[in-house]
Amino acid sequence: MSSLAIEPLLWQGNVFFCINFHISTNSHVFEIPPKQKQLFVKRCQSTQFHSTPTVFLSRLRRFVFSLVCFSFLFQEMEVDSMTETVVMPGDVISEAVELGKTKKLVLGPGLRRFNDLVVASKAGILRQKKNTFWIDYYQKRYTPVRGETVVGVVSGKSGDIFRIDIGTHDPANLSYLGFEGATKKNRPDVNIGDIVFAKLVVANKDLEPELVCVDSLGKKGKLGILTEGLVFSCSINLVRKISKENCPLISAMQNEIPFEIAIGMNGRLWIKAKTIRETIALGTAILASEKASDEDIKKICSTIGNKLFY
Amino acid sequence: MSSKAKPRLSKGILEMKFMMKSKVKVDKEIENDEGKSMYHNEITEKMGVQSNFIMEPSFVNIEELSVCRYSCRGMNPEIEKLLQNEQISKTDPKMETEVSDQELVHFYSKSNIGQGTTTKRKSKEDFYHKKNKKAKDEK
Repeated sequence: MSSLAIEPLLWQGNVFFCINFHISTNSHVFEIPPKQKQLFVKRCQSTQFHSTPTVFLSRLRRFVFSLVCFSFLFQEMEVDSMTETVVMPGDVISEAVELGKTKKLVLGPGLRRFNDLVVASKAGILRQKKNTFWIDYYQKRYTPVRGETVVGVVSGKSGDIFRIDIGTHDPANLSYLGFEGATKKNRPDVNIGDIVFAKLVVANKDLEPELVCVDSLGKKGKLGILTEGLVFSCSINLVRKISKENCPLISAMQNEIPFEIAIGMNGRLWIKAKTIRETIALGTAILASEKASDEDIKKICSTIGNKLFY
Repeated sequence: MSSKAKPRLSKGILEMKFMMKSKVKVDKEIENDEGKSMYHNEITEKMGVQSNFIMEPSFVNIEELSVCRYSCRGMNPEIEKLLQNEQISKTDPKMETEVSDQELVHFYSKSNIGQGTTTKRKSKEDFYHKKNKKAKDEK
């Protein structure tokens, strides 16, 4: 667990936090970058921050919450504080607001619109590519998004619907007609405990997520039931990392062993290799590459490959 | 619905195999229309105002996460074939042609279409003459 060290000082009758706070986790002590420090201090000093005791307490709580978010972020992600801006929930993204007055902008995950403002809803690194803004944040819990592909486990069968556990708040529904070539008479052979690779067609905060295993033309393509293999979960960040086209992991591992992989955007991976030994080796390589650089990933893969065949 | 609605393709035609793409398009249009008519009471004027902000809740489109399923060295031939087809359509979206664009332009600029000054025989001779010359040069 991470802990927080804040030194309160009396300052002109109001509470003021000492500038020299730092966040420590069980292994590291993180220094807060100067830019962020200034921001914190400014917030503390503003009269709004402690107008009345109750307001002050709620602000303080939010403040501590954002600090905890911040420490968590530092623990899990590498932040280069010189070039990257770290934002916390509630921060207004002024660049996006300014640009949005003249241009069409795309707001990605972690950003919300609040009246005319663009506000961060996650603690993370602000990223920009052309007219697209988003926040690169660390997360393990999956929030379903329409159109994403996920790996799920069949957890129940009720009438015409299979219940699929995809790691969301509610289990997803998958109709028996959502498979290639399925008709009322010709039901697909799906049993409890099977692994499916499916696409989300309904992802709404008020509804249960809904899945299909076919595309709009009724073809299964890359979707469907996955037989054998191994399923394990990891953070959403790792999934994003390895599903980028320029990630060296898959191409490096390909040189070592033949394998098959299904990457679910819900933070679940399904892998299959020729033997159990190789499957586990592949899983280890994937998990080890979460915080490794591209060069290190190649090294990890080759060492694992070497160990497999000696 | 006004009587001057857009002309639509008949159901019979849309069911045909080669019309699959237009069918998807038409289905989407119909769905949109249905949605509009269903919620026209609840949609306020402010909602119709075009905002400069487009929300995109998925990382997939933003970070271009294209790999979702992968197989190599014959683990799953079905998937490998799909991936290969994808690769081909990505790298070479144009159809293969026997006559390149440049050749075509060259041919038509030379042949003086409409003037009728060259005969087929003459142009053929020209062509072979040039070819021989090229071969000689190469030697």
